[in-house]
Amino acid sequence: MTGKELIKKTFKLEPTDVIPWVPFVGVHGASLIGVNATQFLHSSDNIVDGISKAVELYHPDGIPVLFDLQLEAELLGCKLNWADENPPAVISHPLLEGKTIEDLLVPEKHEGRLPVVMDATLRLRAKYPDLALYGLIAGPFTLALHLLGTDIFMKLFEDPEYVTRLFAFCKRVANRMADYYIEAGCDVIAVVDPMTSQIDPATFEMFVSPPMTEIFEHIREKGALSSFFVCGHAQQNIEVMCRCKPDNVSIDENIPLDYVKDIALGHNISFGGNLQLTVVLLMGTPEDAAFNALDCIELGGNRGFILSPGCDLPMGTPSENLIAVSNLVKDPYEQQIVKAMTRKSDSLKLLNMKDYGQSDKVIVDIITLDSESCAPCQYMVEAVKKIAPHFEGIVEWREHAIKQMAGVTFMASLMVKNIPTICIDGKISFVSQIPPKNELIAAIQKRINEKLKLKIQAKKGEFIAFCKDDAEANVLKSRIETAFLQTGKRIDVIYVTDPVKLAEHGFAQTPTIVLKKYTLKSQGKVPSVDVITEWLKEV
Amino acid sequence: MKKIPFYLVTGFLGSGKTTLIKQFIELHADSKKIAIIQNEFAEVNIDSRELRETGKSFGLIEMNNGSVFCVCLLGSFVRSLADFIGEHHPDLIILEASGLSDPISISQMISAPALRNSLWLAHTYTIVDVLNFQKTIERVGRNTHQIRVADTIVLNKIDLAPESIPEIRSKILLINPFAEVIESSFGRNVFLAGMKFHRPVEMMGTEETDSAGRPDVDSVVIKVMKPISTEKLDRFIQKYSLIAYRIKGYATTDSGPVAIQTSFEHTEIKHVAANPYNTEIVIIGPEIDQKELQLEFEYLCDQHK
Repeated sequence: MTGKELIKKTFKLEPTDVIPWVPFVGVHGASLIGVNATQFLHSSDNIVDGISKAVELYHPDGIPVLFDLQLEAELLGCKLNWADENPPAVISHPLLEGKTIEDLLVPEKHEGRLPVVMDATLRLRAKYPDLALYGLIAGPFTLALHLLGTDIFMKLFEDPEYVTRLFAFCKRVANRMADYYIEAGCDVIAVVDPMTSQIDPATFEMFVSPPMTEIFEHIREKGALSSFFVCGHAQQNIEVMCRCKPDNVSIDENIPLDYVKDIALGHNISFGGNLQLTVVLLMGTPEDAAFNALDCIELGGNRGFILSPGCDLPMGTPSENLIAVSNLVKDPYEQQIVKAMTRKSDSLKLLNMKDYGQSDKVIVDIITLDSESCAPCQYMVEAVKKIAPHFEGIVEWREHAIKQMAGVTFMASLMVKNIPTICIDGKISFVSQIPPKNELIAAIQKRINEKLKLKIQAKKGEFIAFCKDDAEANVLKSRIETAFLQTGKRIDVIYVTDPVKLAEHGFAQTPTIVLKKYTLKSQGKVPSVDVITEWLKEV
Repeated sequence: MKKIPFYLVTGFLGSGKTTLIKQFIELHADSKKIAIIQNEFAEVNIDSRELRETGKSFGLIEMNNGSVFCVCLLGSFVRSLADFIGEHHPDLIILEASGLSDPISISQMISAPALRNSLWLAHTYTIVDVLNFQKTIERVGRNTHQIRVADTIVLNKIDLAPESIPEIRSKILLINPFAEVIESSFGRNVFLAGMKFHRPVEMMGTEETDSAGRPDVDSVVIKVMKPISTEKLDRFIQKYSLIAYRIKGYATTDSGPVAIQTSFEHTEIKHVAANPYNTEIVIIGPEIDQKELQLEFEYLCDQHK
């Protein structure tokens, strides 16, 4: 199934096998191709290259062409302050500078940066026919804030009629922008209105709901899908957002995903979100990103849910973190591994494995999810199982399925990070890839040789000869001496003739000869209980 | 290296934040190296011009983000702030947050790897314009949020609507029962009387000193979406109140939302009015690891299910 089909299915609330993934790559695309945000947003070549790089790295199902909520504002006369690492900021408000709402004109396609954006959209459409392309437009409240500045907050109370007129104009701009994006090939139009998080539901319904509902209706008429993006503390407004009848609502980390899920699905609307932008994606590790993505996936479920960051990705978001999300979302095994690993926080006690693999036999451990449900795991276990008989009992193998806590403990103790993995005597030897038969045999043989070498160097022993008297002992002594001469080997011999000691050992007949062998098991450190247990099994 | 105390001054649009900071500069710029961060960006920065009128010397960082109302814009702020600190070594930093910005996200930024070794969140001021409070408090959600996070709330412009003060006070206490509420006009008296800017250390139980920049202070924010049982919350707070200098914030519990405040072993937990926010707790103390605390809290929430 293509990404576009997956997204469409999700918008229709049909259950899917995998969860669609839409990274909101805005100026983050600039960092991927080594240009600054300003250069990026002014060049269709840069936008196409940056987004293409993101597609290559993150394997998304859908992606926005552009994430710049100042685009419309600039077209309507707001001055922008351009930056290297952020989208630009609006620094002047035409409606405060003598212009009236009636002076403002809905932007035409040839104006400002629109030709750049539309060219990028057309080219990305042609290049990625199977990807869901998102066209992002500024919502009425956010655009109105740009046009009027923060005075809009007082105007809400002091001059509601003015605000209504202003929002109506912003709606016309949004509809026209939606038309442009749809004509250029976008599948989803996302109306981004973070400002709505600032107001209460009653104010939302009075000012935002009417224009917003019409925008979504317009997008529907044009045959595209729609989404309502909000960020910030907008929990109070999710219900009224859904009543505007978008096809999807998308939220950030400030709102619990399950809360949105219940309300959105209650309205037959799909929903998306809410990977944590700063603490996890920007400042965290790939492991943090994977845990966070798993949390979202588990809460979101496989019906009507799109995994995405809460908002525009910060430019400097490390790619590794997004790659970790991308790996996880498409790979159910990876999800189960991360899930198993999260149990680590339940005060997992690691084993001391420093001495692991000191027994006579070579121990091959296969760390799996569970060879019955994970195909690669099954093949890896089979591979080991097949070659083990070649070693005629010298090699012992075990599977550690991390579906059980003991398996997780073992995996974490051996510092194994991937599934499946083969460890030979506790050393990570084959990761993820199933080794060819000869390579696996060679690796085990190598370990056997190492052990043999150790054994040869370490072998020592002594005879204990229990004799009834010195005469018997002397006869034995001369024979042992001859054997020493013939073999070139010499070990200590202890002769026991004391009847009390003989009785203690319980040997009924003499002479009784015992060969006591010493095997070097470990040196220089106290072995762990597990290791001692292994040794005991040999006795 | 001493850590620099970081002060957040937040407040409603037009509530008088800049005027308040101006007062502070006039009083203290001769004895302290002050850095001010402003994020209300305009073509002509009227606010910074107002500060310059003091004629005093202070560092100024302008954030190129317009109104920081979205977490996605905070990334580059971290870097420019880290650069500024490295270059100027201020004694204290005051962030004048725009009326629309999310104070908790800003507080979270302080525990970013690039900043956590040089900063700690010392005190949060929220300035309330009493004239507009009644009109906007129920309708503009951010205003409520800014009241929630405050250590000190300054009721400003009281001369313009003195009769409304008692009602405003009681409304504020419903949102934030632990904040100290001060009355002022034109930001006057705020720093003369309380000198809060100099005394974040009071919550660490020491006298007013320059030791505000203790080397071992961390401030972290934990944000959690799930509810926690009151018993588990108690256990968490009890455990960390032994280590932390201060814990403050809000938690969603099985018996409704509560406000939390501790100073060393003294803990207060009070119910607050229902609100659309989730658990947001700021913890200030020695060598505290954000991730560890966040995971522990989430684990306690999961046990609640």
